Amino acid sequence: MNEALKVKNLCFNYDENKETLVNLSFEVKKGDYVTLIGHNGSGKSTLAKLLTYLITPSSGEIYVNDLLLNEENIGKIRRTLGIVFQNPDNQFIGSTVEDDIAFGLENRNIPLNDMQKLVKEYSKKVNMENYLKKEPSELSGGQKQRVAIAGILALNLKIIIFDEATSMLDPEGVEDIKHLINEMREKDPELTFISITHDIEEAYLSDYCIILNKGRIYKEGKPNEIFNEIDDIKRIGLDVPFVLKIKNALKEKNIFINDDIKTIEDLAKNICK
Amino acid sequence: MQIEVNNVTYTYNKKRFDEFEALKGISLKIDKGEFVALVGKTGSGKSTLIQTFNGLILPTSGYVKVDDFIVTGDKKLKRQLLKKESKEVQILNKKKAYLLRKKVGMVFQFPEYQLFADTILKDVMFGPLNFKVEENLAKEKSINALKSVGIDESYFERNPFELSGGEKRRVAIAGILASEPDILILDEPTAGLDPNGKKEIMNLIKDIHKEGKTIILVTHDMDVVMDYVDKIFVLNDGKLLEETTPNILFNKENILDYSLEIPTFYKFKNLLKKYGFCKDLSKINEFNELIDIICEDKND
Amino acid sequence: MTNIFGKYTQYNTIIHKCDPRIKILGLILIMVICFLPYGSNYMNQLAILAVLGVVIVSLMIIAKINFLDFFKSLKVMWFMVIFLLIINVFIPYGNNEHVMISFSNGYTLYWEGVLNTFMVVFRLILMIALTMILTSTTTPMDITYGFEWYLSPLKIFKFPTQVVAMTISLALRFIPTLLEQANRIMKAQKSRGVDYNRGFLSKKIKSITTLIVPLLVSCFSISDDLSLAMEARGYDPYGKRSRYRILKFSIYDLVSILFFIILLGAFIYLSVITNHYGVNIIETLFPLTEGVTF
Repeated sequence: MNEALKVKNLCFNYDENKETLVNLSFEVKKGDYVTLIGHNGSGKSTLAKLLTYLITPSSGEIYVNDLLLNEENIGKIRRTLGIVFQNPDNQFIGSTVEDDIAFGLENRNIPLNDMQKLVKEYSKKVNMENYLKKEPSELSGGQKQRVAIAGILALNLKIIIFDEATSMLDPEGVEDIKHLINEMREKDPELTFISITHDIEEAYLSDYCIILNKGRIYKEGKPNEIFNEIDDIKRIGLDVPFVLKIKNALKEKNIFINDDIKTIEDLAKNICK
Repeated sequence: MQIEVNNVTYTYNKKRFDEFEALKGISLKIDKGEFVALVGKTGSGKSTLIQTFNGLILPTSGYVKVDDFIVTGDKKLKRQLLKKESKEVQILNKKKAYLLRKKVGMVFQFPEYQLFADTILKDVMFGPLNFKVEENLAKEKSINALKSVGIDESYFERNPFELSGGEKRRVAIAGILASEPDILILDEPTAGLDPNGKKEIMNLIKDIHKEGKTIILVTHDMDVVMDYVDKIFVLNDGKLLEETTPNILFNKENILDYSLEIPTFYKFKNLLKKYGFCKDLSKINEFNELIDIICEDKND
Repeated sequence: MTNIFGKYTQYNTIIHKCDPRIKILGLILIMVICFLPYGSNYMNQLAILAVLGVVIVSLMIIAKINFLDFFKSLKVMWFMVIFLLIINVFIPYGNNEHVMISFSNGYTLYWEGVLNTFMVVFRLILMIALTMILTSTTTPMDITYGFEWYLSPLKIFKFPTQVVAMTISLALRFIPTLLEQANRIMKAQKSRGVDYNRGFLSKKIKSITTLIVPLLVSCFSISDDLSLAMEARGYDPYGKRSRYRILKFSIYDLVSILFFIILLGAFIYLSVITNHYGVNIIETLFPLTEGVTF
């Protein structure tokens, strides 16, 4: 059981003559950080909804931890898989931070004493322990997304889907969430992150990247490999990640830089060495 | 001088427990035909400031002068100004507000939320009709505006709610352009768009600027600032920190103190400096120049 | 963005610390006190209501209520005042005896009518003050929980109190969001030349649609997102849920219960002696005024 998620021949269409997703198949390994990228309208968000059973596929199967996603198993699957949506305000259900973190716990019928402990513990993990009594209108977008993440972690979910969770945040909020994801992954190597995004820089840093275009998988693989096919990337209007751009430009001048280097920080270190 | 901001302060919820001073004495000037950006982190007062430009917010003290309109909420100052200034200058009051708003077009963040009419053309015509433009002329202007934002004629009679996010935003911008404002203010026009959508909107704004309009942009996106803007005003905590150009700003040593998101290119340059890159990078503003200098360094 | 009854203020007074259920009970009890009959003597009625007024004003001071806000919220009462005046003054009834003004066309204004109106308006003002004390010292969420507790006996009849409480709390949760949205839409439309304050009725109706339509659209998109988020987090309206918020009584609540009981007792006593036995309190307390009747 190495795959957290398996998608087989998945199809979906909202109405009969327009196919939103066509025959998608891919696998996500446990503990990986996978990005799904593509333009608006490439079917990314539909896929996110399918993965959480908020809509049902027209055909094809999805397996979460080898369990088929259907009406019967959805209760079990919701105990392993959580999703953070795009709009930070519209997914904030509780009236205060602590109520929102507790919402999922209440749904699981967890006793009050345990809930109080969990809320405290996980608010600390996302650095929101000093905001427990705050209302959503007093929080920034990034803080609201932190709360959403705490709500998922408190339920001990091992697969987290980000559906463009940073696209409505200011730069500070985006950095904040990216930082938090790295921290989470270091602390718990079992966590699987599936991030649906249009941020190519984020995609470049992930373990595995799937590019969607017009409802089909356009390319998938290690970011270093797929982004190196520059012509293909540019054909569908995507840009090349900055680090890779520098690497390629240097390669032309016979300066070679290791494939492992992915962040601009490491790149700068390497060049100055 | 088209816009003159003179020592403006603004306090939300004055004399209440949640009183908040958003602007703490800002003075700046914007010339006709300039393409400027107001930058600063969330809560720095950018959005409040631009709303004084078309009189949606009246400064608690100080005044904003847009052409010959004076916007202020300070009664004492109003009386003084009325005495001193020549007769052509008008103090903004409720009756005259629409004259100023015709001159200063304001596109809010996520403008697609302001659409309401049952056809796209009707929605775009709404602005000009409010500003007392005659029906036929309003229609003509609206059609031009829609064409300029790249909305095809076959869409005109369709319902705006059927459009995609990016198209809705362009229709909303057309709704402001149709009133033919001299000054166009845009609050985060690229928020929530994918890279292609961003490029489309920014190129559209660039074209509008070429027609001689003054553009004022409020944005977090420093890549946009880098690629399109001539002049930057940096705001922090309700005060103006600096008036500068993108190249100067991003090359500053203490740029991190401004708590701005720097374009990746400059971030990388700063990191190179941090890790002891030997060559002088301060004059490097192009990608190719940077590559060349790295090669030089490596070959030495 | 204050609504008519003022919004929650974050102070830490005794009244803030009270259990919402006690506060709701207290609110209802004092409202009852407000409308108890206090005999037919207007001076007596005024005196008793004035005492009640002092009690309520002191509660307001304890709760640190901004009096400016309070007077602002009274603005909406003008319509009521005029309406009541017309009913009470121009439609004479019962034992009107004391003529105030006689019009040439036969209409007569009676002191009784004016005083009756004054009494009703005074009671209404007290009620608004009371509501304001509740809303500005209790978070909307706590008020919801309080009401849910009172509704809980209905569970026997399979009434879904949990679902109702969740619906109300979600509605309350999104009021600030929608207000902000409305504010933003209004500003955007104002920038397109709409004037919400001026113009004739037909024009005003049109202006309002430019606010309502976009607001409805965003309402739908919020509820869409919200229902997805709730479902994804495993919400089942009829399933068994535990509660994070549990209301607990504290020592303050005991004190306040005693306070309300004494208050209620005192005013019922007053009501009985004035109304039933016709005792004139002012005369009894201040024999000096003996013989001065109204």
